[in-house]
Amino acid sequence: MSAYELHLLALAGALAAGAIGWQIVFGLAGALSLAAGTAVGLGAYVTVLLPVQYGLPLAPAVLAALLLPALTLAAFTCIVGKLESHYFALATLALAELALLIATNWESVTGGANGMLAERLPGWLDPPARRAAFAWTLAGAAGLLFYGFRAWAGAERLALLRSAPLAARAFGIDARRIRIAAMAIGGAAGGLGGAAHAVTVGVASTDALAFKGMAAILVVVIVGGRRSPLAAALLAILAVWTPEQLRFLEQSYLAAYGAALLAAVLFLPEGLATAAAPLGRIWRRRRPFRPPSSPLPASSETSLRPHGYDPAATALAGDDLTRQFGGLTAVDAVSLALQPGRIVGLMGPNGAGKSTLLNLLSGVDRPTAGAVRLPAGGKVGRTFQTPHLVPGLSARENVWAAARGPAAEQALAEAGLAARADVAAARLTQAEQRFLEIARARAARPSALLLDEPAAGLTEDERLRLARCIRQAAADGLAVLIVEHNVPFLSDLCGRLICMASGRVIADGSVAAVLADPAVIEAYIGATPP
Amino acid sequence: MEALTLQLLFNGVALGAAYGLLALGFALTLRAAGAINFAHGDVAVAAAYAAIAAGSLGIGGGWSIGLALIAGGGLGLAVASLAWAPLRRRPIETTFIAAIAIGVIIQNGLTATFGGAPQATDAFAGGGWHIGALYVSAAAATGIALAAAAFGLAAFILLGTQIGRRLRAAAEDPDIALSHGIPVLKLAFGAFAASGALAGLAGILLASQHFATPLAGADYILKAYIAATVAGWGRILPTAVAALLIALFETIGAALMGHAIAEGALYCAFILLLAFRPQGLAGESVGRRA
Repeated sequence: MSAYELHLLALAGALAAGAIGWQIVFGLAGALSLAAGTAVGLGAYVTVLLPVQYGLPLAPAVLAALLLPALTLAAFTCIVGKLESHYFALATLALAELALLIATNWESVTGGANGMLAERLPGWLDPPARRAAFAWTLAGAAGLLFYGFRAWAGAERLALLRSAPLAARAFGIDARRIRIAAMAIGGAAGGLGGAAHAVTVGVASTDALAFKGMAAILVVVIVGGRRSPLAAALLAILAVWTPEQLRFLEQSYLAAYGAALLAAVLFLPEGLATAAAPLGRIWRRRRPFRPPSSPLPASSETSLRPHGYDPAATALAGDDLTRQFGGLTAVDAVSLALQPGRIVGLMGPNGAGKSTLLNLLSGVDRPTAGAVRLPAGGKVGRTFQTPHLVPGLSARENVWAAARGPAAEQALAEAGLAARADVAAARLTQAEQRFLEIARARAARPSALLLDEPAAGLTEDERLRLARCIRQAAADGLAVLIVEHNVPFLSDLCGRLICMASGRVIADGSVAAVLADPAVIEAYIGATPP
Repeated sequence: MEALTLQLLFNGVALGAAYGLLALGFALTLRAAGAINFAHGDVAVAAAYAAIAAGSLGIGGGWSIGLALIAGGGLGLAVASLAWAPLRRRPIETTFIAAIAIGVIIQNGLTATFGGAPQATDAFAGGGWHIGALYVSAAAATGIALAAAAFGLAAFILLGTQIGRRLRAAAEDPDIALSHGIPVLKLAFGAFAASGALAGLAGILLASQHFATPLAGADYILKAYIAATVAGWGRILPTAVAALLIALFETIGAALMGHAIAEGALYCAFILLLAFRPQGLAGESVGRRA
């Protein structure tokens, strides 16, 4: 390769590292940050400034190029980490503009608009081949950060957070913490890209901080693939090489970036990596997952007992739970306690506050007043009225968002999904999706299981299977709370029935007593349109 | 000193008129289509350049204002049909990225055609009037008058006409509005066109008072976003007031501390505002919106 081609290769390595940084933030954590260029720019400036101003050797400067963006973006995300979609995107754009403003105007340190020359690079970096190797080493390090973050957070849990945030909250996935970590680690990877860029071009300038750098990163990730560092690397090479072939277009090649980006969003929603995935599968002959070879324990010695199981302790309790939305009180001072191994039905006309109560008990929503009590180490598992699954992941991978290992296999088996475990959730029938949500909830080994209208839309056969599944959960020591309109279904399963109306509990007791309660009858008749 | 303050205040009001137009258009697409148009600032810049290009061909004055309105409206429609309508059933971030892509095309297309150097337009009649110690440039005065007219028109359409009522119904719940025979999609396209025209007007005001550069869009969108957020999204009078406050802060801050520091302080204040009061200062909660 000529010196010039090696130079381009080094530039591609820098771009790959920057893009992998953004894959961590957007692809894995699902946070649309527009400050990817900021991480790269900070890394570039630090790599040049520390040797020039303080005579530091290159290695500590590169380490600082990794740490400074990581810390800056982590601190920033601590402040704005709770914001949703466009608020977060615009906050990061404000940060990016702020960084650009500082870099342009703090001339004594950054060299202003002209940037700062990297005057003291070590001699061993002089040969272009070494620079290319250096850049791609840093890109490799960025790749390691990507896989490290994915392993730490769990690929399935990240997927759940991206496509079903409510379910993620019910499984105790802390969205803010993951976002802060992703911004920090993605920032570190971006900083490495900046270090590689500065060493390659011998200057740190506002170019990388500006939207121009962000545009290249966007193209590489959106066209290549959001979660594939390999695709980012290949696309980075392509993105650096193509402008050279299109040089007759002059500046407009950057406009072509924009066109490619738009076309990818419209026609290649998941990027080339996913479009090419079937080819890869033929090539690799992907092994089907083999469940652990040890036989499943007999159901008497179940592995799905709740964490910290204590048959004498209350499995889940709510004390004076109240939830107000503006002026509306959806749940009004509700107290209840669920005992291990007992199945309780929760009924009430539409708008009675049943789903809100479930949200409070499962931690999806916070009460305005009152508290939820769990035994030490206890968890709450739940299902949703419309299943909140990750459509692109297999049934088993969906369960892995809650727990891996034998518990996942047994939960799948008990839900009758053992044979369908490798099918994508989107291709399961509606009933199977409901059973999958139960399997996912059970795999986490909660002390209480909350089911939101589990029987709706099921055939008689499926309903019988559902009842078996619920009885099994109770036999394993879980407290079960079922929200249902189907009274015969509840009467068969439950020893106790709770009826809510207008946010309050109006009856609580044996099934027969509650169904005969005049207040219950009135609530239903009053709620039925004439 | 007093004269200087008065002049600063006037300049701030002139700048605020442009920011107000940007913010109003920005909030309009959010209200009508649930869309955050990340290319909004770039649309304003592109419309200003259309007027600048026409000016170099000898088409100036009122014609160039009309041209900026048409160019902005057309680009708004382009954003709607490329980056919003086909992606409505996809994750919201997808529409953001598509709009950003259009922004990248605009920024670099303009740089390739016109170069990166700042450009000014003389669309408005030059000259001005001395009123006491205050100098009122014709450009600024026209800008303020046009912005006031646009705000008045917007208030009349949104609050006083059938279109406005339908728009508000469509924003409240598109599915129910559709089932009541409200042409939700048509309204949304109309909102994008109107929003683009407002951006175009803002773009030419900014280019005539200051300069236009191909990359100014990011700065514009942030100003519009700050004003819209502070005002609680789409309420007309608070939007105008918020835009004025931002422009005054910027103008007076720049005179006291220098432009870079004033701008930086504004962005910092915005980040803190988002962190601690994302529902805006005017009180309406829109945390779940878009």
